Amino acid sequence: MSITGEARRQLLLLTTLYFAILFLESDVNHVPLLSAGWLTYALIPVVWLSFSLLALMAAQLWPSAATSRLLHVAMIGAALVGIIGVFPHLAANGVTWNNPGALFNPALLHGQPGPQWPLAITIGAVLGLIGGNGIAQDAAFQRAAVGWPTRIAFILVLIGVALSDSLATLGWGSSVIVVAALFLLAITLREIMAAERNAA
Amino acid sequence: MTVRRFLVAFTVVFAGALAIETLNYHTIATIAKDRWAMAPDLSGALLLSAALLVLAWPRRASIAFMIGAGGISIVVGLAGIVFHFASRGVPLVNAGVVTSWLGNPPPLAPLEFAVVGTLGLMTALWERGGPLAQIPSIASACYGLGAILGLAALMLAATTALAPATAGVIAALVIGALGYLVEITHSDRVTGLDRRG
Repeated sequence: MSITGEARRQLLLLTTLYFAILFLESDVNHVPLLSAGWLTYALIPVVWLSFSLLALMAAQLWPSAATSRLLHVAMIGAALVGIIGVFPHLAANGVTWNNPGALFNPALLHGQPGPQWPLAITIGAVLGLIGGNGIAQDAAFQRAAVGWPTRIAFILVLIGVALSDSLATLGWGSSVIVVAALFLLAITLREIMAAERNAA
Repeated sequence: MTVRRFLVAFTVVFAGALAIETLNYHTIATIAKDRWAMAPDLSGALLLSAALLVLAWPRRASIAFMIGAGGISIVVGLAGIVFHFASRGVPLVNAGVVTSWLGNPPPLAPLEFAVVGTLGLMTALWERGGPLAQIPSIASACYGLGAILGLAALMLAATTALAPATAGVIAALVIGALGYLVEITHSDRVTGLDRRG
């Protein structure tokens, strides 16, 4: 199953936007836990989402077999991080080997953290895998250079990710990611409308 | 099976998941205080229903319906950020303060509605992505039933009967998945026949 040219561009932009949202949501909830000195494995989604964002942007800026492979690794890893992440979230809601009955508690889906939340990363990974599949063979996608608005949005994402690493700058990093996400949404919509105009 | 049909089906799953999520959290958090908080419940169910309708009956009218539902979802997503941020009582000038982004409600989560709305728009407008038709009638019937259940969930959510609305969304997703299963099985069989031929 593959996708070509403009549609690939739109889908990869959309996936980048989605991962930026997931990064922020994961980051603002996990980094304070880490700074409090516990749950070091909570770093895994933060690190992997940062890596996934880098892989997504690299595949759009420099489409090649290498960046396509990098994107595949990032997305398969993200799918696994999402699935495995369900278990610590379940544990945080009291579902343990000693208390499996908590799994059938109707209030479980209302939990904080929600046990279903990590699956959002797996959903994003599916979009990334489709968008990244066959980049090396997609001449139309490789020919169309990434525009300056997209490059600016990517730079904002990078700045946001870098600032979000520390609790001291997390607020500013989050704000930059929000701006980048809104910018990416506008660019994606513009790309969709431009493709429609070209088709007409 | 074209990528386009897959992405429409993906929109169904994505919108359904978001609808369930907001039906769960907005019930306990905000609807009692503010009925506007049901907007994402409604837009999620609407997009789910519209995407299922496109899968069942890919015509100009159903595609226009999906474009409209996608547009509403984008607006809900963008407005949601403002509402989630404002509900903390944090002035916008303090956006750079770390605590302004922590806790609940999650400020950027509503933008997921904009993402799924954009995905809906993209798949609806992407005419070169292949035909949306050519599916077995059983699959079409499943999608159609799913779309009706999605609309029923929408109406239930509008009357704040949120538990039945959640059940309606889940039923729509299950029946839609059944239709997708029939469709994939059918595609494989057609491919097999083509190979033999």
